[in-house]
Amino acid sequence: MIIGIDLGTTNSAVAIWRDGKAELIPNAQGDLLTPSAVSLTEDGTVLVGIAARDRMATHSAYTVTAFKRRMGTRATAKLGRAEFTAEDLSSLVLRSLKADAEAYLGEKVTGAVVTVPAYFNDKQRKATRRAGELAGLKIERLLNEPTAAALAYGIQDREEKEPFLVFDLGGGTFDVSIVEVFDGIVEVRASAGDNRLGGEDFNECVAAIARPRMDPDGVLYRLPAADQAALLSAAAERTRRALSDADRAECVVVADGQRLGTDVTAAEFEAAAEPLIARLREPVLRSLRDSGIKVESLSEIVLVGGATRMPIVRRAITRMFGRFPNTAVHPDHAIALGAAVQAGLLARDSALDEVRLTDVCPFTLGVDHTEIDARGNYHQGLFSPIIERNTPIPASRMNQYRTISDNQREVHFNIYQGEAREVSGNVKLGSIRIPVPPRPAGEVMVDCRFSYDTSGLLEVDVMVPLTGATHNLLIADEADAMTPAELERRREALAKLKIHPREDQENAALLARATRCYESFLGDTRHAIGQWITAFEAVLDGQNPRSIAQAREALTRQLDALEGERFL
Amino acid sequence: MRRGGYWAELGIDPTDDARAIKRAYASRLKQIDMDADPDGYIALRDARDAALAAAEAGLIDARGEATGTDAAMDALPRFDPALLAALPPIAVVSGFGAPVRLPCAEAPPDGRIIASASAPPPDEYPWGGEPAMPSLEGEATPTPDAHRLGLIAPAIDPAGLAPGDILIARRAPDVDYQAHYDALIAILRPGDENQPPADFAEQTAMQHHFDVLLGDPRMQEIGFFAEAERWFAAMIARTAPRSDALLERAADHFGWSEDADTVDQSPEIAWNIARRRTLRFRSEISQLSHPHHRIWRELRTPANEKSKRGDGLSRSQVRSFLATIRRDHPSLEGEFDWYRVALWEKEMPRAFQFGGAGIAIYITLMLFRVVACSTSPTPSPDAPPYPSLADSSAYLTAQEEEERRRIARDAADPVSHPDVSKPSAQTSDGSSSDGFLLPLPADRPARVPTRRVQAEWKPPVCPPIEENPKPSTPAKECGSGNWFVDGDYPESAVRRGKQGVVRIKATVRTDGTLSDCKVVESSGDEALDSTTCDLAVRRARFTPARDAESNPIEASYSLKMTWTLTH
Repeated sequence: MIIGIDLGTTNSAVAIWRDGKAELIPNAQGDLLTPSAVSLTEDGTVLVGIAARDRMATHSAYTVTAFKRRMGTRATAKLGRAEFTAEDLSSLVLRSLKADAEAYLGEKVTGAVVTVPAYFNDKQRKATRRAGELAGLKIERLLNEPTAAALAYGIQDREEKEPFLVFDLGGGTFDVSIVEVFDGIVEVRASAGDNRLGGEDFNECVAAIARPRMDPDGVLYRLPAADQAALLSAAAERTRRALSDADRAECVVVADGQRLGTDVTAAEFEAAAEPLIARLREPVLRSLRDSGIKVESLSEIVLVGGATRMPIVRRAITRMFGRFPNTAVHPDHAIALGAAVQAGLLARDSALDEVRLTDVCPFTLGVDHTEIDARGNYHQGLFSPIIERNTPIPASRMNQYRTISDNQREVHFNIYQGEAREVSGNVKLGSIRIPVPPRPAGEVMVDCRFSYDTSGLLEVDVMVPLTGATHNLLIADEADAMTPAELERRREALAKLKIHPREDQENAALLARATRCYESFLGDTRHAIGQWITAFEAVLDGQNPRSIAQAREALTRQLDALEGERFL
Repeated sequence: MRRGGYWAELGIDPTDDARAIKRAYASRLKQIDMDADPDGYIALRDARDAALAAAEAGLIDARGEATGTDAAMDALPRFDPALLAALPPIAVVSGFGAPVRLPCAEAPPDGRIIASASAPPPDEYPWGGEPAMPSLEGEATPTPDAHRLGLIAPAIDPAGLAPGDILIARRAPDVDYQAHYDALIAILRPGDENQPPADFAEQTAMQHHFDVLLGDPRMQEIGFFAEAERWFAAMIARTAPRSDALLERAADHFGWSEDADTVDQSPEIAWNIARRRTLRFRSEISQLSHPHHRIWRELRTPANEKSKRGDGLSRSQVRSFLATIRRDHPSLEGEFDWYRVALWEKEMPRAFQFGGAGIAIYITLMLFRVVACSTSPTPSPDAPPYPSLADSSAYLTAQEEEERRRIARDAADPVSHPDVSKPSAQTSDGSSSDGFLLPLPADRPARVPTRRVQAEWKPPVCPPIEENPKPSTPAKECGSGNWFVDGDYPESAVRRGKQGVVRIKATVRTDGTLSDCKVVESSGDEALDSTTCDLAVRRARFTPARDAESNPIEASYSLKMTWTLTH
């Protein structure tokens, strides 16, 4: 059984292809979306999902969110005294989703299709793959997120579609893809994006506006830094969502026994977010240029990702393209559903017989080289592309290079991925050294061939025609080479971590939410919430499932009345 | 690839119907397994791309019509600033926030038109779920096709607006973008070959027009923006250095920075980025505090053959600086004085290379020259032609030779060489006195130069008139009294090899000029005679003679001019 997983910065989801359609799988709380948050409780169990997200406000030293931004780096986060890398945390989320799927489907899950942003580089993709392995999941395919959304959109009605543009602005990343559908072939023409632009950045804008106004006395500074950040970003997120529906919203933080609040207007927010909106333009331009499609001939603009609900983003898109965008796909669900479609394709489901998907590689791959200009100056460290970006994959391209000195013994190829003209601005993937016969400069030619396959594996073949020698290199992650033994050890260590039992997860989530509410209110309200919590815990101790369920509903209703329904 | 090329790979006959090609590709793709057989996929994909390219280029005999896509792409208008005035601007006012403008292909009917970006009803969602945005009550939901801004909806009371609604209303055009565009082109003058840099007024005007054009609401549309960026990049690159004032502004607006320097950058943008870097470097190095400022200033100082290298700078410093400039900012090299650069790069004159011996010889010669100068009061009137540094020793020898020649002349012909130090006779009456001085250089034979480089005649500067002039003074020449230079030798006389001595007599007027020049003794050649008088009258300047009451009076002047040809 292969499932499709959307591993997002803010929220994750899991879906399955069944009975000729893709459907989302609910988690233990019955929600279709699971927040990407991990928290450690006092007794050492791991909480994943909305419970962990609610605990961010109250136990920020034991909780971490938005770790997708650190994938591909070696940055670690501390949960209490334990340290976890971004891969470990992602693997915990994947494990939780796998458990949800197995509980819902009643069968074992063997493999998964996991989505990554189209603009994730090689390191980040390998980190995602490792996260899957650490969770005990076989990653059948890594799928680009806008491609997944295009799949979900494109096979709705199976008719031919002129090229359309998928605009995916998620919690942490921004991707643009231009996709064409004909005869059941979903073909990606071009992809581009920005790995550091998402809903979180808009939250920071709101926080930057609100903080000086709501906290002129610096009350927040008395708290530890992690707490400050957690409280502010949670408040900013709520405010930002409220600004989608109203002209002004209040940004409230309760800190140190004080209620700090201020109003933020939509106009202020729009002005502050202006630079972020301006950054939306570049990837769109690039993908249009690379695919050679004019903006007038695009048939649709498909919006994906929760952040596209913001009016300023919608206005910006309308201005950019001169038309209203298409909101036919559900922005939060489309990616997981598309991943499920790909899972169905891999499983050769008969309903998907006529559907094929071809993708492109979003980054240029090449080597570094030295150029001699007209005056005889040497310019070192320049990037020589071999596989240009937006080449359909699998791809295989070759380029020829010459030696630069007399009697040169070796040629070094450093392999880079990126767009910058100097290799210092690109990501280094690996290197290979080739011995060459001694000859005068420029007489020895070296052929370098790159082969890039659908799973994102790069193979380098270098040949020296003079001697006929060939050398081969399979790019392994240089900086972060975990041997299989180390990987296995890490996996076992993570497997030993106790996940909160499934039956208890609802209760744990509700308790976490109640605790957060307790901390966000003051005075009488706080006192009241405290009493509700005590009552609920008493019922939990009674261990009567029916009364627990009733008490749960009652508490949920009370909390909803207090702070509005919780959002995902 | 299969035998038979890419058409065989696709399995169809050559055709220019893009749809057919795509369909063939689709059916073939479903037969192969992309993951198991990547080479097969690559071959198929290359075949399809090649076939599509061939079909589009029209290399195939036409047997089907061009597809809608191609025709549509041909018909798309390219960026034409003239369209700025043609399309009627429409104001789009949002429910809150800054007003936004959108272009409109067809003019909507008059009156206010309201459209809201509401979602289609729930049953249009593929797998259920809630709609994304609430729709406005009492509003006809636009169909998916109607969202191309040709919307018509019943007019709605503006008070009923929801946030995020977009209101379209007609507004009169208030900015004439065409005029600003024309003005900018007129200042930049892209067709002009030699362009001087823009002065301050032109720069300010250019920036103003540019800012207005950037504020065009159409810039928010991405296709327009891309074309405008391309056009501005080309314009600024082509009209540099005139467009330097616009460069910073354009680079900031369009994001042409070195961080965004990518492999596939268009050459104009790459050029603009390089130029911006050069301009920044130039402004930095013009500051006194920059460590290399001295070298910069030194290299810009104009030089001639009398200059020396500046102090406090070592040759290696200057050379490395020049190498940096040549590699990174080659256009700045044009600002350096070529002579000065050559001074620093080339070796010094050979004379100095001999060290002490050379200096000693040089000093001896200078002393010799000084001695000669004291007997022959005026030095040569014209500077010798510019020597190259390599010839400097030859130069010295030539000068030395000339001195010797002159001294020989003076010694040989004492009669024709009147002694200037002899005081002139002074008379108290004001008429036809002999208060004159024989100018020496008249006797120096005018020599036709062996090189065509000739010194220019520099008119003498007369001393200012004193308030209380001394009485009974004779007329005095202004300057050194050289009225003749080498170039004056008449060509006809040169050709015929005529030499001779000419005596003239003239009157010094009260204003210091000569008049009534008469040839007293001819040299035998008409040209020589007339030239002597001509030039004397034209060029000679005196302070007038004064009588006993210090009034200026006329005096007479005699001149003996020896014209000699030497080779």
